[in-house]
Amino acid sequence: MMIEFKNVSKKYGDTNAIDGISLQIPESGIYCLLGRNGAGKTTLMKLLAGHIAATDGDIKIGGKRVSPAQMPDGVNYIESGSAQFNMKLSALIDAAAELQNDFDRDFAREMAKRFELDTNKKYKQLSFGMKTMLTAIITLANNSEIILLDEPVLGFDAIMREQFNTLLLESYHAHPRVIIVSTHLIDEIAKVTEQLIIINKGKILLQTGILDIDERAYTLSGHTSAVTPLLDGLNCIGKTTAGSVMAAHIYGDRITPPDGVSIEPMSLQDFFIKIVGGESK
Amino acid sequence: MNKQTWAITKLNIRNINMPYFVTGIVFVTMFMQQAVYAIIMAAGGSAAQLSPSAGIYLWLLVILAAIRIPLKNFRRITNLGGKRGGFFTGSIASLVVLSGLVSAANTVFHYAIDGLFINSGGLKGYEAFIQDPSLMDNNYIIVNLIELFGWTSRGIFFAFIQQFAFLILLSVAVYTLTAIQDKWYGWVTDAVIAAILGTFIPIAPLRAWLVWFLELITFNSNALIQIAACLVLSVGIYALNKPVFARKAI
Repeated sequence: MMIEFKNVSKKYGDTNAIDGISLQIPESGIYCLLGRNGAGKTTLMKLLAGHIAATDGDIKIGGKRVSPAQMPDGVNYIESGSAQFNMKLSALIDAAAELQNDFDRDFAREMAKRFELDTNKKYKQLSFGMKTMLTAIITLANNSEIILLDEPVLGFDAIMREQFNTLLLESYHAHPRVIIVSTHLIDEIAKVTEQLIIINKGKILLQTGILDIDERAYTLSGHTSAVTPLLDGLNCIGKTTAGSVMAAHIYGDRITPPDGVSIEPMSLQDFFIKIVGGESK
Repeated sequence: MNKQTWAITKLNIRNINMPYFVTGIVFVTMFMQQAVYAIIMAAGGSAAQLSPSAGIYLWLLVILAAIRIPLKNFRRITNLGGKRGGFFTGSIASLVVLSGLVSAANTVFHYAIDGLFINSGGLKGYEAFIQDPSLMDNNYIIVNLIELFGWTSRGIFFAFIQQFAFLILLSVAVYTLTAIQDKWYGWVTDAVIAAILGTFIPIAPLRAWLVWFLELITFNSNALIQIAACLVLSVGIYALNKPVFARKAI
């Protein structure tokens, strides 16, 4: 189902949370929405879910306009850390199943079991990580065409994150659809995601495949006098210097460096930091 | 009633702990007070008090639920995947169910418990007070609003139905006022209501309009007109919530 943002802006008072974004998501896949705190990730998801109204521009899903008055049926989004009724988890899952069309109750229970969530506990008795997990379960157990997961692994330990990523893949393969995941844990999500959308200060900086970054993001290191001439014509997204040594971070076609200059692939995290402007000297 | 409306109705009725708690405390306190007075008066004691029947405090449940549901439950229901349209229908269903339950409970309370207090010779009722206002001098008189509004004059069924219709109107009005409080038009509505009351009460011709309106929805001598007026106003007022919740940010 085609998702389209056309010149979309969202203002909160004088602040541009989303600033004239145009974006297309044409097909199923797991998309990672990357951005710093306050970059506009949650606002983007809320706009797509019809939870809030855009100040300007058009949002369409399958050609139909999205707005709070026209909340799309095929989108499932629950804000991370959102308030829930203080009921037993089993009752919350049952309530979600009654409220949502296409809710897979068995999948939700299986996930709860796998993550050792005690479904006899009440919501307020859960730890922060467990609350996040419940939100992720309720969102992911829906077989909607578009699933929006906002910081779904916040508060998880490493093992839980690994399990969650496995489940995300299992869920996607069972029901291929658009799954958009916002997260700060960049390298971990890279194991499961196919597409990357980087947002910064309310603008889309980049939308590309993870493989594209693997191929095109690299670092040239060597003596400053050897590296500097190579940068002409290259898309240098950041430089780090230490004495006479320079590391230049490039996003573009690969070159064959001369002797004395090494070339190394850039980690996704480094790439993200450089592209959003976190350059260090 | 579709699946989502029914699910939201159940969630709303289940998740209004504060209204249940406050109503329970007030009701039990007033009931205990009246029971103690009934014993004291039956034993030859004296009092000079006119008090609402404990049953009428059950109305608090409907009023407090009408505040709680739009204030707290809207967001929680959408956080479980509920839709705005479902919340609109589920909330009115919740208010109707609660109004029906409270109306039934107060009607039963009036005929059973108020009746027991009065027939046991402990407390005096509204009818006796109307016939002899001097009873007020040395008796404890209990008045249930369904008696005061004349709804019991046509028997238990009309007492229930007229009260039911009035409670729906009351809850819908409170619900709607609560739902718009975070918007400018909510404040304007508050100001307009305050201005109407402030202007209409001191000026006799305008006051007559207020009296007419109150008679229409409460003291009306024609039960069917009272019921119809309450229901028509309820539908009209509740419809205002459609655009309010359609635009409400989650």
